[in-house]
Amino acid sequence: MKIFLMIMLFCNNVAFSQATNFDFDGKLYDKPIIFDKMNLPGVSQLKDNSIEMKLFRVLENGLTEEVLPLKDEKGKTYYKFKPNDKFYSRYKCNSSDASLTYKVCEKYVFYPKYGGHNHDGNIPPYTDWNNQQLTNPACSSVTQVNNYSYIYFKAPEFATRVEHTIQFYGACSGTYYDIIDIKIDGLVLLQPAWQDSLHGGVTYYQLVGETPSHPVNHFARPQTIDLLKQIAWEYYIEFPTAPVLCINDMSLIWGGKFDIYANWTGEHTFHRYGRQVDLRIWTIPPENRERLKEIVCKYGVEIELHRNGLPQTLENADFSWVPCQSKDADELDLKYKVPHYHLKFPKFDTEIENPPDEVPNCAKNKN
Amino acid sequence: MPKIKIKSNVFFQIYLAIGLFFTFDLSSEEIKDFSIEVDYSIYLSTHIQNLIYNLIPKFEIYKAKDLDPIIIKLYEFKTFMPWRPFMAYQTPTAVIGDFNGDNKPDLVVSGRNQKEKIVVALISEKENYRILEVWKSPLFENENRIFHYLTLITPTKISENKKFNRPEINLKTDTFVINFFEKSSSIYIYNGNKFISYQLSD
Repeated sequence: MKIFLMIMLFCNNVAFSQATNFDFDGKLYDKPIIFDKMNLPGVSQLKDNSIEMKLFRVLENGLTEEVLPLKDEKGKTYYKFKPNDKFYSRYKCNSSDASLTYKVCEKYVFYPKYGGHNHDGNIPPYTDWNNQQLTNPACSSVTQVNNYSYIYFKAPEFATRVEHTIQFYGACSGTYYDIIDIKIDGLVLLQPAWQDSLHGGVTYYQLVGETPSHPVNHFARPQTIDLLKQIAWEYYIEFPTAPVLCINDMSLIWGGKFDIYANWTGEHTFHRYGRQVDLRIWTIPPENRERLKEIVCKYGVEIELHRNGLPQTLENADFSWVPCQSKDADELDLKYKVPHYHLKFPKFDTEIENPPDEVPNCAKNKN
Repeated sequence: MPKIKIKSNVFFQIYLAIGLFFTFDLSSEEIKDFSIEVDYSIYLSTHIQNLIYNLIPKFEIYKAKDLDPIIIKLYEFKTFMPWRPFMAYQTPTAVIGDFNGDNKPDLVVSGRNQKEKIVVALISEKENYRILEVWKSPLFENENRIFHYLTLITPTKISENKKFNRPEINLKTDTFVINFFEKSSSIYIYNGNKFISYQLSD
């Protein structure tokens, strides 16, 4: 028996020591969207001097800067832009025969699963800087050799990896690849509460709202997560017998548009940068709500009631026939309309965002 | 726990009156702690069905069992009874109202085909109805419960909200909201030609 136990312990140790990022509830490892399973090529290296290819980004002040490729942990190269960034490809085909011309076409394929979207139907194409949809492939004009040609892109508002296949025609030839990640950097996952060793494995908040189209909906900036945990913990300590806070949509793994209807548009409008958090309201007893607002405000976070219906929806309804008169009318009203609390967390960086995120004003919490 | 089962039947037929019926099944004499189960059926005239099938073959209107139980729970205490003498009935997947202001009933239904979740509206037009696709979203293989539902909105004023690009709206006709449970909602207003949506919450 002892030998058996020793073998078991030994095996377990090996298993744990191999898992550097152990995921206790399997939340991430079940989701193929988190992992690079598509094995896309990196950015192509140019073979000779006959071709020049560069990418440029338009800065907030209207100037442009060259974008250099980055390397991921596997050594693959890629470019990085933010959702809605304007950028362009610049090409040049060098030749001693100045009478020749060339043309470049870029075929692009979106892989939005990298951005946390478990759906890939009807993906809208790139647009140009005037928001006109680009063809696929997008092509430059026919250009005289030794002159630059350009293709202009506007990054989509959703996060995605994009594979560009670049084809030269005319005086220059060849096929090249670019990988472009469109993402908001630095978002981290809010783990289930019981995995938080700082709070003794207590379930002091619950994660809700996962859907098949967006199976992991709890990413945010590290500062947002720290404050959110603090808020949830204080609420739990103050109201230990009440249900814990239920945390609904935050942001997707790479941020950007969180299209809850999986159609690349519409709602959510916010939840792009890891600073917006939805809270379930109907599990928070009415008598606790004012105190929750105070706790939230202490950390500079604004709490806003988002109603899903309109105040008049139920006003004229007759409840007299419902055999449960003991229920509080306000509660019925609240429950029926199913609003939620929308929390806006402070911004701790100076990055300019497009569209800009909402700035919290916790003075509004008292309204 | 005693249970009350509410059954509602929404009839929608051109030129015919609309009926709404309830049945109550008390399974115990004790009336203390109630759990109310809501079920409903939607019946469309053949003509209306054909209009829908012409636009969306194999369209199926969502039934109560297709909704996540939490959506049905929202209707525990909600009356299906009309609060106007004119038609104004709603279920989570079918809403009857006068969306174009011609005093004839219009309909919006939520359902699916093989690939998508779809909301379609039927707007009265002289002697017939015009069908409009209002909204759609891809359907997932493992999506066996839906979280979106419809609610009727009667004429009212809706305040401006700049962050949602929503102007002040003075609603003169009925309209409806597509809600995603606890996530967001948008109101759909008919402008004489198509439905325009404005976000209400995020």
